[in-house]
Amino acid sequence: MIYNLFIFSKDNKCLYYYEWNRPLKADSLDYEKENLSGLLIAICDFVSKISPIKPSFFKSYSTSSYKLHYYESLSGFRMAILTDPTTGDLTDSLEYIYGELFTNYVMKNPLYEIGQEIKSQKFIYELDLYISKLPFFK
Amino acid sequence: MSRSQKKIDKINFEIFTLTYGEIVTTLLKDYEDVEEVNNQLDKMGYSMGIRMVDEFLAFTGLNKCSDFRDTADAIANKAFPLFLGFPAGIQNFDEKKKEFSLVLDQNPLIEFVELPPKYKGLFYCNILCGIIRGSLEMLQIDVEAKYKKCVLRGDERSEIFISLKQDPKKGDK
Repeated sequence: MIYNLFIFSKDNKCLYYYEWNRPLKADSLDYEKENLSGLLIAICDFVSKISPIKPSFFKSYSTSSYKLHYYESLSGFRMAILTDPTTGDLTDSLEYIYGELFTNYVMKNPLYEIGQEIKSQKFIYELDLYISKLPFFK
Repeated sequence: MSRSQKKIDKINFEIFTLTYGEIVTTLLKDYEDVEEVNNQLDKMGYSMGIRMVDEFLAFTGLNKCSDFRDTADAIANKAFPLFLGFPAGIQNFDEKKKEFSLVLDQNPLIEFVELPPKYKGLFYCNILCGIIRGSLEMLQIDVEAKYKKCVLRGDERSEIFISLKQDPKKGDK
């Protein structure tokens, strides 16, 4: 099951957040976004530092109740998807969201100001369509 | 769906070159100053570059470049064929100063173009410099990109000079 998704910019701003399933609501969403962004930076940094063989990228972590999948583009956009812990590898899906949906509907839109929150209806619609079609969505 | 399935749409050659030509002529009419047009083209290229780099990354799936030489290779042999349909050559690569020249042998943009004498100062394809600068900036590589020679101005070949402004260890692409 897919819970929710975050997209962060290079300077740690949350550009987009969406939740599909989330029984437990966040106390403060802003606080959560900020902390998650910080946590991910710290994890990525640490994970690649202790790697005995270079290079190393952080992909996911799981807890007893959820799994966080992470993808970072070289241009500094970062995405995280939360799913239930039994979900397999989501790298391909995250690459698709970045390469097809994000680049096409957000970055290539000349009227989108880089670093601003994503409000593109087309992007939101296509993303929702893609996510809800994934086999492990429900 | 992985990266390998991604396709780049092609555009008709004439439409592409004529559109670009029209942009340059409009700028020349609006600003009436060749230097200013060069500047504007560079600025336009910059805003295109910071957007195009994501397309480039998604399409090629490249990992971080280990050094500036790799970056030069990626620009000349991956980015140029992807967006303009021809590779560029690398010349005068200087390891110490971190600079090199991109040599453009073919360039679809200048196919039909001849500069009238009053616009001799114009770098017709200055937009390319902006694009290179913009895309590399998104990857934390600060460079300076400048047209050095241009076929349209009577030089024997077109050359874009690129030099790095900061420590390349931080850079990636």
